[in-house]
Amino acid sequence: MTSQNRRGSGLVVLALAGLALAVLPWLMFWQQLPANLPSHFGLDGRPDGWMSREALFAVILVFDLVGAIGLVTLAMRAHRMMVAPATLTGFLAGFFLGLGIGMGMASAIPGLGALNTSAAGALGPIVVVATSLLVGAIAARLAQASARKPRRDDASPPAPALTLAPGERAVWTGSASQPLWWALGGALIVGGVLALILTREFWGWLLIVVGLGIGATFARIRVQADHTGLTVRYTALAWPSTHIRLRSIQRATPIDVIPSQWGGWGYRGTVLVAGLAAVVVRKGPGLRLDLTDGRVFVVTVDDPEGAAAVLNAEVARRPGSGGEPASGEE
Amino acid sequence: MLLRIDDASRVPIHEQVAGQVRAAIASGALAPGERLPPARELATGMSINVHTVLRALQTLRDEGLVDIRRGRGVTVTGTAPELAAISEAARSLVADARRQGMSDADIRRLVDGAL
Repeated sequence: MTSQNRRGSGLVVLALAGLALAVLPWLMFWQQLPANLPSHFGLDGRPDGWMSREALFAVILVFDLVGAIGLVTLAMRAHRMMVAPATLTGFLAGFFLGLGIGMGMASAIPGLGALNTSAAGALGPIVVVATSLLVGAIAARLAQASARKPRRDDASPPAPALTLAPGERAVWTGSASQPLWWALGGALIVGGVLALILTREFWGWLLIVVGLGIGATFARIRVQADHTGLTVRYTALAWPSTHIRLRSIQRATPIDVIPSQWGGWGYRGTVLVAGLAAVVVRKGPGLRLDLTDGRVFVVTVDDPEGAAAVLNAEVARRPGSGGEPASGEE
Repeated sequence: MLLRIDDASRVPIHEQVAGQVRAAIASGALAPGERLPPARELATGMSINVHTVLRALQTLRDEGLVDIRRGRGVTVTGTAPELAAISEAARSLVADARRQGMSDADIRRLVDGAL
């Protein structure tokens, strides 16, 4: 089983099974489908845009193929990739495939989503979200199993630690900023305003909200490391924030974050579903947390050495800790 | 910015916090114009009362190292780095002089002599 996973065959099976599952509802219900299907819904849940069933099938098939091709490509390359990027890529490709499966089910299965505008139609979005996350999670785990395991002789980067006397406490605060996020948010807002003016559709508002949200989240993050663990706070949001409890942390290491290795910019992955999450606002120095259950969390932050030093020191003096011995002391 | 406090020290916690922030300003870890994290978050991180942190910040404000403004939080002043270095030097002087057994009056006479 291990060697099979190393060849990524699980991912290929997932891709083929996913494609089959994506096409199945269409095959089963094609005769019963009307010539035109809703392809766009207004704010009240009633459809206000239609496509021919052929066109809708084709559009959704594109999602299926993007996801499936992504999984197959990953299957061929995973054994040469490190665990983190492989897991994230698997999650993304699986998510796309799951999205296509869910949309196909919501569109083609009578009563599930698109054909009814009554309460039964509410199931549609739930199905889409559920299938996306589920297939994403499965793909992430398969990719994780297929990726290159760190070899015993891979040099472990040094994990700095402070020496803290029993009565001593330390708190480290830092930040990472990338003003371009405001520019991106601004562009989306402008696009949304244009969309509202030109088309009067609700997704103009969506663009504006997303634009505001992106700028308000990633333009400048603040990071605090102390005895409670690590906390990441987002630019203009008091909530949500990201908190990793100290007891979940095994080891903190300063690293250089190259966004492509961590799935790109923004909030990548999910610790819950993909076993790995990264907050990447810019390229450059960052902090990597290896958690006690094997999961990994990364956050870009300036001068991460201090944060790592505090966390490793607190981990080391945690009662009953099996914390990593520090390789350097301050 | 790294802040360390020590329960075992005879220096009151609020003075330790002020000293740590002063050191951060003097070393450049906190730059002029930079905003400090909210006092509440620092207090929770160090397991101390938020009023202790506020007292430290007020000391720094009185020394001209930070500005405290409603809605803008606590920001480092433009002249803070130089002031912080001088303030630390003054504290060192007083600590050294006291170690030598000098009284406060002696120390004042010493500084007067240098003016």
